[in-house]
Amino acid sequence: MHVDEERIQRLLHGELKPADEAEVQAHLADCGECAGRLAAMRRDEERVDSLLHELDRPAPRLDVGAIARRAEARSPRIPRWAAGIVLVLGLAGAAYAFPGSPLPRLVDAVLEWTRGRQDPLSPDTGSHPPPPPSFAGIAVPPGERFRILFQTPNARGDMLVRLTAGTEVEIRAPRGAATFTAGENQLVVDGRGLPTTYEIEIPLAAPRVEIVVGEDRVFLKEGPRVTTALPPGSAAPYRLPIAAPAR
Amino acid sequence: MQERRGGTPLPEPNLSFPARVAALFEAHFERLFRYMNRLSGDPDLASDVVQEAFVKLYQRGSLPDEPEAWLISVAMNLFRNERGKRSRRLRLLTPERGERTLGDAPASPEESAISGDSRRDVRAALERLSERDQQILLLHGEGYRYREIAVALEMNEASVGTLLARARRAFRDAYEELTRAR
Repeated sequence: MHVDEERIQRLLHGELKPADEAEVQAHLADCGECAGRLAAMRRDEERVDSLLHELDRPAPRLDVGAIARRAEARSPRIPRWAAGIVLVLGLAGAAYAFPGSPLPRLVDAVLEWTRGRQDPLSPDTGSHPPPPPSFAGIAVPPGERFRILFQTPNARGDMLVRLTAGTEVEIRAPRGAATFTAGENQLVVDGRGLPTTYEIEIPLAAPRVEIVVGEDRVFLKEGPRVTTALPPGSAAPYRLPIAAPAR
Repeated sequence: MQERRGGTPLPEPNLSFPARVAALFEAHFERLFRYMNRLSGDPDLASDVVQEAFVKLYQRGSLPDEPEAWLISVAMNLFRNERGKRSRRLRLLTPERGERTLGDAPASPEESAISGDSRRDVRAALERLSERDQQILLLHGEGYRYREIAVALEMNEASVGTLLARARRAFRDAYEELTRAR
């Protein structure tokens, strides 16, 4: 009786219980056919492992702190003061609804009093449009290669580029003066013609990130090396002008 | 007779939860990345889904019974969702690019000169296998134990060895057929 394939595989991978392993080993010592099958499986496995290695790529360098920060940023935590407000409102609601409570009359009296004091000439504040957003921003994982493209002539102003320990490229337009379009390995920034200072954060671990204005590359980070359109010796943070290329 | 690297021990139970997640991250991020990269042929996608799996583990607030198998299952689900989304999006925009991204990352000229054909054959041979055969072959290639593979793939642990041997034979035969045809 020969050893079945499952047990030979388990022997090869150290997955047999000690008693079973001793039994299989004893059989192999006397059975050339099973010993040959084990040797063939081992050769096969080594060859397949070696072929599969050809698919490997270096793993990105990440630290678990970035994972924790991302997880915490997504967790909706209610602060204590907010929980306190909810509790007070709940109690007030219960008191208001309680039969015989003086609160409804009291609230009505206060509302009546405030209506009487309202200036009838004051404009209706409810019809004002909402204020513009204070900034627009986007965060994108940069992958192996990433390009930030400022479309000219719509992009105006300058940019402040920082290198960070984060994992995502982040771009902020402080006055909300931009729209972003994410593509494969690329982010296109349309400044809508409004001058602003874009704040750009680039992960130190990102293998390759470039910033292009129109058709001109003004910043390149490749591994640890940074090349910019600034004079040699310039250090981070890099303030780079955004100007339409001269034609 | 143990010839493979073994499974990684679980982090000490008396550590804090963040410290246990950190220990798992140290022990498993790279091999889970390698596994997902081999499976998807897309290092960016592999990195994204593995990071996201760890984010979900952190958000969970406690470790599951089988953390390694849990991470593999979550990463696989994320991979299937993301692959579907990217496939649809890329097919709409640029069909050729979509196929290439899902098949394999573009090689540099040097890489192509050295091992481009072989690499393509390896990828093509792998893609001839069923998803389960690919998974079992690649998970074992990363040193996951039979029990971890069985839990992650929801299969009977008693037949992992046989299925693994079949998957390996199918891969080898597919690879040889491809290289013979060249």
